[in-house]
Amino acid sequence: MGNRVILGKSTNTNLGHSGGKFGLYISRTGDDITTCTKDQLIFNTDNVGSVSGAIDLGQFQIVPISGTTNASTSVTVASGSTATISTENLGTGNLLYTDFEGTFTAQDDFEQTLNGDYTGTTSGTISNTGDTSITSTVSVIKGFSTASLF
Amino acid sequence: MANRILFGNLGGSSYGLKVSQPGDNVLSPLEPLIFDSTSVRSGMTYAGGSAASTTGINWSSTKGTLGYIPLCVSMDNKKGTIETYDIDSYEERYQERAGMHEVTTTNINPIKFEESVSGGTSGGGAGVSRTATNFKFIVLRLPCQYGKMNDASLWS
Repeated sequence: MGNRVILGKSTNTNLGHSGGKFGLYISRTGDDITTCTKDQLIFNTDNVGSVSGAIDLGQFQIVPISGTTNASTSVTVASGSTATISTENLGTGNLLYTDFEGTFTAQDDFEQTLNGDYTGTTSGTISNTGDTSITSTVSVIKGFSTASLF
Repeated sequence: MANRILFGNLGGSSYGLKVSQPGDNVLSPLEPLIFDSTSVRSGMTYAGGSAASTTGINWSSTKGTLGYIPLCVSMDNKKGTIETYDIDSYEERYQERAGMHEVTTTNINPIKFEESVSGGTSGGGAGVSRTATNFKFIVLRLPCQYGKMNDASLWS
């Protein structure tokens, strides 16, 4: 069985630790944490966050809807309007995400479109950017930054 | 309070780290674990970005590439369905996934289906560039590429 976990000093040169670096490092099953590559890590504490050279920003997470443990909520947004989604407080910059199947109407012109904004600490807004009222399921993806590139 | 973190011997000869959800006992969890080192690959967020208006963003420019095309999630003003009807030509177009994107080893590019379908000589294929507004995306450290979604790339 390969070494999977280092809590403390790593000297894995493939992770840039030739001089020794302290942290928590966990490799994938079958990969030795003392020799694995960056892509073979499933968790690490190196440069986590929105900094140049960071291996990862953090785990992909869904932010619970406020007051619940629900991973999503249904919302109806009128054309040209916004709706507010309240969330548990997991920090700012989370992304409201939705995807949905539209409704076909013969011989018609319309747009059924939504766009989610970055959230504040406990809420965010989703905008109806089309011309038709839409009811859709919305999830909130944990964010890390609102910079143009991170 | 429930046991939340199990670090070290997970039972038998298995070693690693498990973290349960608040209120859930990590020794007998009823809910999905927040972190489980016995899984072979977790969804780590690698990069991201946004633009008020864009035809494409080089997500790898500050962090480097991953060696494969990664799975990305995006939102923009065209997330949804667009339908148009031309009464003069009796031509109707209905497109779902209007806010689609393509991902390369370096870029995420907003795209759309070919709109020029008159006469039936072209159209139907995705891949035509479009300008996305209020575009936001994240890059996950998960392969989403032909030839890279196999045991060797995903788990080994």
